[in-house]
Amino acid sequence: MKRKHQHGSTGHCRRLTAVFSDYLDKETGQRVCRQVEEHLAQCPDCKLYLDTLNRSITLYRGLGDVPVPQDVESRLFATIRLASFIKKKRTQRAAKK
Amino acid sequence: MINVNETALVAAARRGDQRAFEKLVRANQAKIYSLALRMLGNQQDAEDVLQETFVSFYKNIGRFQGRSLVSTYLYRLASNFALMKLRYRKSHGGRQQSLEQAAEVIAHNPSPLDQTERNELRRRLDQALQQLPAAERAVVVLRDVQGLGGTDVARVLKLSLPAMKSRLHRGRDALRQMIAERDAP
Repeated sequence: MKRKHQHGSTGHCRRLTAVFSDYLDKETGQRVCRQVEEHLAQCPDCKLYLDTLNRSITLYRGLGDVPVPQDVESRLFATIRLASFIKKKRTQRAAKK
Repeated sequence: MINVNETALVAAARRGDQRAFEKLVRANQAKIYSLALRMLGNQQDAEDVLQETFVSFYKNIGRFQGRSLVSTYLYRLASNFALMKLRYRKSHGGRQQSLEQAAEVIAHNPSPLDQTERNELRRRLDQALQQLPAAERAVVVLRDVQGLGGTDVARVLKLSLPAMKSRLHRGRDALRQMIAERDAP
């Protein structure tokens, strides 16, 4: 799998890319935030990179939970009840000793 | 924020109230199943992790201090079980799921997606996730799919915040690329 993005050949682009995740999460300080925005205004490649990163994150945030299938849920509760039964028996046995 | 109702349910479950415990299970099972499914990409393994997580919670509820949400505590248990499974798979030459190009269907589609498209999109996004290394996948699933805060993700996975952020960045970048490649002419 190719892991490096293709934009911005300069070191400045590469350094800023490392903070794009934080920038989108609003976890960068004001100074870095300003640096990112100034750079984006003049670097269409980084702008495209940030847009696609944002879009990908948004898609994943919208995935939501997968409902537990009925049969899986039934087996889960059966297992918990079995664990409960074993725990009670052990407690009773320990109390008798 | 700790939910008052949840605190009461935990207290009741600690006293041995089975119904209270089952309410906690019902409230959290989909989150844990989703996490496991997305980390492991396999229904049987996800079910195993679901059971291991809640049985472990049941056995150890006396030790649950209530300093975090039940869901955060469960995410920690489930992540550990899932990562153990992934390590076992790796050490035993387990086959990585053979997956199609994940980005095939994630096209720019400005019109509202119908249900079929939505399901297809979900399937492809899940497939892309499976192509990430396990350590990055765990971070991305907890942070972006399950919606935990960065500090909680770091706590759940026992990582420093910078290490968590670094994995998150790498994981997001790889997913972005898989999706962007599909959109390329």
